[in-house]
Formats: sequence, C-alpha cells, structure tokens
Amino acid sequence: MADRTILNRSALAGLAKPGVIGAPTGNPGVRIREITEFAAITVIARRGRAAEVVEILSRHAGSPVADAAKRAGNASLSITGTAPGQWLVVARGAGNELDNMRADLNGIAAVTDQGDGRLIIEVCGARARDALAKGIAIDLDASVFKAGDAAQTSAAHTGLQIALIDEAPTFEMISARSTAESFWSWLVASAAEYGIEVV
Amino acid sequence: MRIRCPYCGERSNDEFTVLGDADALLTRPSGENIEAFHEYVYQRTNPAGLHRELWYHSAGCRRWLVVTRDTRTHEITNVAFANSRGEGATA
Ligand SMILES: [Zn+2]
Repeated sequence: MADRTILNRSALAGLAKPGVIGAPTGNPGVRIREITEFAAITVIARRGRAAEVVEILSRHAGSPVADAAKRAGNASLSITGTAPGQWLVVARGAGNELDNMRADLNGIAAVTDQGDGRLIIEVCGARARDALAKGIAIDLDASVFKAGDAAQTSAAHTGLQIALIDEAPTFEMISARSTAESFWSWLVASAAEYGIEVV
Repeated sequence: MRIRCPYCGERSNDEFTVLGDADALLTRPSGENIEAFHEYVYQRTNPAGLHRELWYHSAGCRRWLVVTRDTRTHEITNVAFANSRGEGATA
C-alpha cells in the first residue's frame, strides 16, 4: 500500500485566502478570520448534575459559566451554552487542557470530542452587523446582543452558533464543517458590498 | 408568529417543528387497552381557542416545548419545557 499522509486542513482551507474581496471601499467594513487551530468538545450534564458541571467548567474557564446561552472564557478557552445542561467547549491551539476537563467531568457529564467537525470564524468590522443581518433572524443590535451573549440559530438555513466576543464588534460564528463552504459563500455574498478583508 | 423559548429567547416559528396536541401525546395510556391506544395515536381535538401544543426547537436548543396558543389569534400565553430536564434554565 502506498504511503499516505493525512493533511490537517481547516474547514475553509483554500477558500478563505488572506486579502481583500468584494467592493473596493478602501476601508473594508467586514473583517473575517478563520480559527484554524483548535480542539472542541460537547459537554452534556447528566440528569440532575448541571450545577456540578457549571462549577467545574467555571473553574477551568477562570470565570463564571452559566447554564444559559452565554459565552465565557478567555483568549485560549471558551465555553458556550447551547442548550439546557449543554455546552460547547473550544480550546484554541492543541487543546491539551481539554484532557483535564474531561477527567474532572467523568461520571457527571457526557463529553464528546468534536474533532475538526466545526468551522470557527471571527467576523468584525463596522458593517459586520449589517452583513450578518441578511441571513440571521435574531436581533444582533448592540442594545440587545451584548458581549458574552450567545445563540444557537441558523444562517441562510445552515445551523449556526453565534456569540459576541467584544463590542468592537467581534462575532464568533461556529458552524458544521460539512456546510462550511455554503456558509462561506453566503457570508461573502452578504458582506461583499461593504468590502471584506480576510485576515 | 414568534415563540419565546425558555432557553433561547424569542425566535421565529420557522426555527421550530410542530407536533400538535401536547396533552394527547404526553398522557400515554397504561396497559394493553387497544381502544385507549387508538385514541392516543390517532384522535385529536381541534379546538378554537386555547391549545397546548408540542413544538420542537430544531434550529435552536433542540428541546421539546409545550406552547399554549390561542388558535384563533396565535396569541401565545405560556411556553415551558416538555420535560423536567430544562427546569432552571433561563432565556
Ligand atoms: Zn430553544
């Protein structure tokens, strides 16, 4: 058998190329960055154990984690509520710290490795909200969707987890890897008129 | 129509899948009475007024909800998780 090498490719490898696309506005209204190195797990609390899981997740995040549609954490580790008693944990980089978390949650939560099954991008810029409004039905206005808020919803009929990281605004958007390409084409089409910088 | 999910908040009804009468489905008959099972599986009332319905938040938290809705006006007066698992969560 021929020697084969499995390539570690991000969901948008070959698509999200650094550069400016869309309208040549001189000052791109939307900046997009794909997060290419990360590890992710889902955590689902066993019946009646959600409070204990919240305590453990908060300890690992270094800040309070809620059993709600909120995103907590820091630059390297984020914990986002996706359903009652359920979270998606993303570690930027190699994700070795997830091993300790998994050990601490043993017996009180179901922990499932998501491998490279997700697309993660950060969208920011002065026109980010205008671009996202074209395919997302929830209210992303600054007065309603605040830093640390998160939502499980859809964008152009594709499942989407969205959170506001900071008021810049910087949105974190997480989608299934299998639909990353159509998600990307929707995002580029929606943001094109404001000018896009892929970084 | 919008439904206020207890976890996700107010969402468009196209994020949900409706399954109809909640009380008919949530009260499963015991024993082997074939008549009772026929009622349980097939028979539904179709009230003009308040109706408790099962809605699945398929594009959101993927939880089953019991939605109390006036079928004449679409006014929704209550939304709750269909099981006890979601109790304590807030939108
Ligand atoms: Zn929901």
